[in-house]
Parts: sequence; C-alpha cells; structure tokens
Amino acid sequence: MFSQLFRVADPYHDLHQLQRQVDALLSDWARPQRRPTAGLAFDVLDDGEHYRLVADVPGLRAEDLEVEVTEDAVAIRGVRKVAVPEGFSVHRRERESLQLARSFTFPSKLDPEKVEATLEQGVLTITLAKRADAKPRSVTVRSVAA
Amino acid sequence: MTNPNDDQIDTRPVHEVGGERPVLAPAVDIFENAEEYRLVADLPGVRREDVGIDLERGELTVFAKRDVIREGEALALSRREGDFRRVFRIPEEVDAGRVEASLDDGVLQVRLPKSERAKPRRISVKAVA
Repeated sequence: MFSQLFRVADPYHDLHQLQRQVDALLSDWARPQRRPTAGLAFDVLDDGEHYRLVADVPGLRAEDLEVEVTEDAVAIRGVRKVAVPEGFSVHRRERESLQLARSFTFPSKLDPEKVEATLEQGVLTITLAKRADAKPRSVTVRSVAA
Repeated sequence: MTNPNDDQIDTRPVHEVGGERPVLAPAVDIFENAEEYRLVADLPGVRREDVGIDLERGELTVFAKRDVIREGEALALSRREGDFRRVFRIPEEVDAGRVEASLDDGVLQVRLPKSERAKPRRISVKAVA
C-alpha cells in the first residue's frame, strides 16, 4: 500500500527522492515528514545594542497582533483562525488555529520607547533597544606612569 | 487585491530550492467543492518571487526558497532553516491550464479548478407523456 502510493514519476527526480514528500490529494493517509516546529517558531538575537525577536506567524495580519513592551518583557498576543471555506469539504487539515499569548524576558532591561515591530510575509520582527544603562560600556585602560 | 493578475505566482522553477539546504514540508489544508480543489500552505518568510508551482504528470509541486537571516548572538532559535517543498498527486479532473495561486501574509493559496466535463451535472428527468 505504502510503496504503491509513493512512486517516482521521473528518474531525474531521484536526487530529490529522499527529500520529497508525495501526498495524494484525495486520500488521508499520513506519512512522517519534516514539519515546522509545533507551536510558535521564533528566534531571539542580540546584536549588542538591540534584541531582535523574530517569529513565524503565517496568516496573521498586523491588526491580529498585539505587542506590549515593558522594561523587562515583551508580550505578544494574536489569534489566527483557520476555517474551512464555505461550502467546501475537507481532504486534509494540518494548519492549526493559533492562540498566541507569550511573554519573553531578556537578560538586560529594555527601553520601551525604542521598539519597532514589523510584519512581513507572515514573519513578525520586533526590534528592542536595550536601555542605555544596560549596555556594556567599554572603559579605556589608562596606563599609569610609574 | 485590486488587480487579480498581481496575485499570479511565477511558475518557473526556482532551481536553488533544496540542493544542499534542508527541505521543510509546509503545513497544508486541502479542500474541495464542486468547482475546484483548494490547497492552502503556510510559507512564512517567503517572498512572492521565491515561490514556484509546477504541475507535471499529475503531480503538483509547491516549492519556495526562504532565507533565514540571523545577525548577532543567538539567545533562542526555533525557526527552522531551509526551503519549503512538497509534492501532491492531483486528480485527473483538474484543469491544469486554469490553476491559480496567490500569496498573502505568508500563506499560499492554490486553486485547482475542475475541468468542465468533470463537474457533476444535474440531469432533469423528463416525464414522458
């Protein structure tokens, strides 16, 4: 059954054989596959001056998202409703509704006045400035004449 | 969505997809009504010019290049790196010439209309006097 469903259409595609996922549109059988991370997939990066929080939120529009920043944390809230279009029957449903409510804390204090949030192609990027007194200061070492 | 042509997806292959880079299978929904099949796929972070759709020998391939750019020290990393690619076998009744796709907010929608002759037809039963 399994091998019948998984067929190679073109010998030139052999290279992709291991990577490709062949799914029959009309049947509901499931195969193990590499899925995006369950739940919210996000990165947090530190470039010295800022923290950057990047999250995959496909299907969410700017008006579906709420971002709240304090000195200590960023809270993100958002809802994605995944609905069956009116009058359609379902063959496969893998996209999940998302009820996002998450708070992120950072090693240093944030400046809530200096926050920028953008949404592009379903990716939310929040750039957070570290509070000035939280940034490491470099101190010049003076040589003291003996 | 003022001009419907704005939503046409380039169907030319994006050759850089896959290769040495990891390949992720996007989460999809598939729906059907009397007129068409509809495939919806999450492709966060993918630009319109980096999506490709191939329809060949009864197989629909959706592929997309995605660059995850990371600058600075990583404190947390859970976004998966890699390109998206997934292949679906499609029913013969799909009219390949009328397949349409759009990409909005990181979500791809592919409409696969059924050919006219495949659509169910209602035949009225005439009473014979």
